[in-house]
Amino acid sequence: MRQQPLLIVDNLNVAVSTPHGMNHTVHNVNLKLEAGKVLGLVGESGSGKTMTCMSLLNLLPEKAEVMQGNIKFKDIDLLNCPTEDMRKVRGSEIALIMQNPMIAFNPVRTIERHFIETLRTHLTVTKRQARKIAVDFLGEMDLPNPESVLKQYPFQLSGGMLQRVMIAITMSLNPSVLIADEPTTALDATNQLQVLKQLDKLRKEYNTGILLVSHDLGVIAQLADEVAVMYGGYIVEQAPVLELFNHPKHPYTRVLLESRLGLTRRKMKSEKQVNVSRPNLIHSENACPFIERCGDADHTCLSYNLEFIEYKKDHLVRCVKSR
Amino acid sequence: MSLLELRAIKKTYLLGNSIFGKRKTVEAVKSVTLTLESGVCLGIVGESGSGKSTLGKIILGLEKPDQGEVLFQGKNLHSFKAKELKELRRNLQVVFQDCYSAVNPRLTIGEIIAEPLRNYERLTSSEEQKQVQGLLELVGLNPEDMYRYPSQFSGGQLQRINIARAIALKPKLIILDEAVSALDALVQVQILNLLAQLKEEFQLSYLFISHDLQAVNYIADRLAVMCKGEVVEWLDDMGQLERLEHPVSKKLLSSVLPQYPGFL
Repeated sequence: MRQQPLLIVDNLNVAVSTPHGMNHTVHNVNLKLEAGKVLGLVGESGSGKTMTCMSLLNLLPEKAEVMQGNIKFKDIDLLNCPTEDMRKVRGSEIALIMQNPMIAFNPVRTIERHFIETLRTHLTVTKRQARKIAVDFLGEMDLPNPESVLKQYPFQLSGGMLQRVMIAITMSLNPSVLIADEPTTALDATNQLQVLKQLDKLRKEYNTGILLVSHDLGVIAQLADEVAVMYGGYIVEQAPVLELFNHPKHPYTRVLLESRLGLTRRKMKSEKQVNVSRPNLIHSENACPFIERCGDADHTCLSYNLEFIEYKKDHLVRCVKSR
Repeated sequence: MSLLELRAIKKTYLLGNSIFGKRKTVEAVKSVTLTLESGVCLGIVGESGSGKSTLGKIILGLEKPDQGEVLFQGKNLHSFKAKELKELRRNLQVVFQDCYSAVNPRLTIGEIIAEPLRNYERLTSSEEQKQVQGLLELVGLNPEDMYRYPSQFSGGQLQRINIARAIALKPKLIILDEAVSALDALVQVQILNLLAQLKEEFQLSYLFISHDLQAVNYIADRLAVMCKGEVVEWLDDMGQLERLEHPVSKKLLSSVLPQYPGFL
């Protein structure tokens, strides 16, 4: 029997108001996240990944708003949740790790103050108890010398260490869902590996459901159980990770997979389908979002209803050609 | 004669500004010796803080080494006066990681790319326009883009503009300091392909500084691994990455994520 999903995003639509009118940045997004599973969200910058994450936490920027859709976490309707209740959900139930750990911390406060503030906001613990929890979780994240890390200021730690401190803080509240928005993009290769190992540990030991956002298929490949590929605000393909890597159906997914570098001897990767220009998100409602960059596009892609096609069980594609 | 030769370069930075006692020092680069032949791409890899970027800055003449000399085309870069240095620098260009802060947001793309041309060549405005448009086409952008501003471009496009500016004077050597690290995976491959193609076309040499062994492997001909300010290992044939022996090289090699599911 399948588990009841923790988080269900149903038909989410987000639009941002710009001087040129409403820019529809997220279209009909459906996601399900189960406990102990990792859902990978891949896409290039501007594809709507971060907008999707921010609407989960009700943290959209002022100019953006949810036009349509439902977000259900356990039994709470997150989109119509009163502000006070939402504050309780954030951090303790749904946690967020951002891309750049350097700007996520207050530079004039020690790590200890960050920890204690977060813990005492959500739990009724004394400062001493909070401190003990902090030391335990820093040790858990394999940070050497947790006691001395607590006394340090953010600028005294490296990016990789800070990101692990960040994970330790979020995990000390034992949230059921963790949103990791490009958690390793700002780190170098060796730190990236360590942070990924920590995330893997969380899902195994604490049964946390992780929404892992990245533009790097290598990162997604290592952690995700299921992958959703985003392009131009749409989820264009969604499948279990092995299925997606072995049988990519959408042309964009294929381009992404072909452009992986790896360590095999270089050969010139073909670029024929990939146009340099970024997609203009304000365009015809019915056309396929990938039409400008797709090598196989023809007139059928212009009148395209953008419904998912079920290629296989659990493998959904938004491309008329995949029929 | 090699295009570039570094002899026992050393650079130490002072930390903090305490009035009492001895100030702390950091040896960013200690005793690096290397040569770069014309037409070769030398990759320099290392973790953050290993001294890669300091080395790049010393080669560019942006930092003065405490000891050692930098020979560019056989001449010591740091023994010249500013005026003489100008001629040498014409053949030395750089592309940085942060493409947004590398361009002036108030200049048009045309003005940005024309800046090195204006510094070194006396061109009429129509000649200049023609050259700028040619450069834009060369890096895969539209000639009309010269009238637009940096804020109207994406990161990948801006990095193309930075590359166009770097090759405007047909330099001998370009320092690429984490030039693709901040870009999306797909855009990275496009920029690397562009760099490889330009290298062939104009006989350029690159010093490709990066923490990402995958990108270095894709473009470099030779490899130097740096750790704590020293070059700890050399590799003359990039096809033999598995031959790397030093623990630091092995660590970098093992932290490259396999591009297929199921590893952790």
